[in-house]
Amino acid sequence: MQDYLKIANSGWMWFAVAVPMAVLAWQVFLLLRRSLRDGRRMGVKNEQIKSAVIASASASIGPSVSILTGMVSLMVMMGAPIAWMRLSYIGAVMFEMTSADVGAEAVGVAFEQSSMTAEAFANGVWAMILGSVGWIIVSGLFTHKIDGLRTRLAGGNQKALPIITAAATLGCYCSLTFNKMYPVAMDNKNIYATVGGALTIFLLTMWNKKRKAKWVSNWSATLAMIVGLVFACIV
Amino acid sequence: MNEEMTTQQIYDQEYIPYSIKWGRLTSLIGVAASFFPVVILSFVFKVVPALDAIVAAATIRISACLVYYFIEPISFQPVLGIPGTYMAFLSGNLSNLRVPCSSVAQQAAGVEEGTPEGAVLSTIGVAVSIVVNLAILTLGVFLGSQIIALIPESVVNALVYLVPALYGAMLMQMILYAPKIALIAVPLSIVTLAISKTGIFDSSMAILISVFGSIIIGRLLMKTGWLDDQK
Repeated sequence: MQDYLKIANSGWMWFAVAVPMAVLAWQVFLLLRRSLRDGRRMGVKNEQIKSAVIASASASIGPSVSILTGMVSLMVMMGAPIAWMRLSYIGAVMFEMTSADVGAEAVGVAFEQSSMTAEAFANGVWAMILGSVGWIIVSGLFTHKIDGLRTRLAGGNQKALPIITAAATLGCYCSLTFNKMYPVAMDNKNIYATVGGALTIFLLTMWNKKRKAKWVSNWSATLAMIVGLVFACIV
Repeated sequence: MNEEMTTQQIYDQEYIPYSIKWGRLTSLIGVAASFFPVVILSFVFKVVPALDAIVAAATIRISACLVYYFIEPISFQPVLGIPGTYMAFLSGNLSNLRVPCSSVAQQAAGVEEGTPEGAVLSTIGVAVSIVVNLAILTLGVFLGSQIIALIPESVVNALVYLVPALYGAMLMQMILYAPKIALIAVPLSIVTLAISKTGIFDSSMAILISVFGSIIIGRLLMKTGWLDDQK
């Protein structure tokens, strides 16, 4: 094992990543507890909460396994603690790999396990942190201001808020989706995946219009992902 | 009507002030806590890169991501709601996990996005995705990289298609939910994206223009009464 990996995989590093993870757990605990309590007071039913939990949990599995496979390369290069923490805390695979790479290059070391040094490893960690705290600072300081903007656009009209939010959500998913569908070409398999996902939702919604089967709302997103994946792999 | 007022009051006077106070505090503590690994590296292992190396690498990363620090919270916040935004950004993996899971949870519960109930269910959806993601990654650490590497290449490559499929699904769900607004948002987004690919503005701007363009046109059309039959 490379020397730097002894540091990277040491008990001390596990302790070091446990601290930020504890802060995240604390935040999730506080906000989730409050959401459950106030949600019930707002008239949200246990049934609805149960549906949301099932739907979100099942939809999280596939993308999380995908993140897991990306974590392997990060684990190999940066050790398990940093990889585990960075992919549950602030980061995403692409961002972290690039940061680690840039960090190593800046101390004049190639980003390969054989040539990595402790200093290159540490600089990679510095780059990951310094490159990513901007998201938390902006969201931490300005989230309520951004929401004020949405409310202002609604012009104090409560009924306008859902329409404005629907417009924003549509704009958001249009952009994410069409970006995946670019370039429009036969060999861009993302297109088949997107179409498969969209088609599944369309058919399920039509089929469920009168039936109102609960399983459809709970599982439709997960089913759509599976169909989309099959489309992309078969076509 | 009375009940609706109460919901709005709980939201405005208790739920949101609490979420802002604690969400902001824990996020900012989270910023400080994220430096803990380099503190340990510096003081326990005495590994400190040269200052110019730290600055050089950080500058490259910050300048590459700077626009996204602002664009992403602005673009995703309407979906996520206030408490969900704090959690989603502190936990990362925004566009491939937190944002879709927020929508999935709200749709499964049958609540409207942008309402107080929407914010509650979004938070639940984001929290669940954090727990599931963490559980799977933790399992991965226990199994070790050699075991995970045994997952066949073809499976790994196929998993890449899950997220585009999920986007397509969420987009269709929204089109069915608000077809008239979709008539504006879909072409606007395609045109914006096409322009961004020519290099006139960055693709990171495309999402912002799509989101705010849709909002503004939607707001104007509301005045004409055309959107009155939208929920």
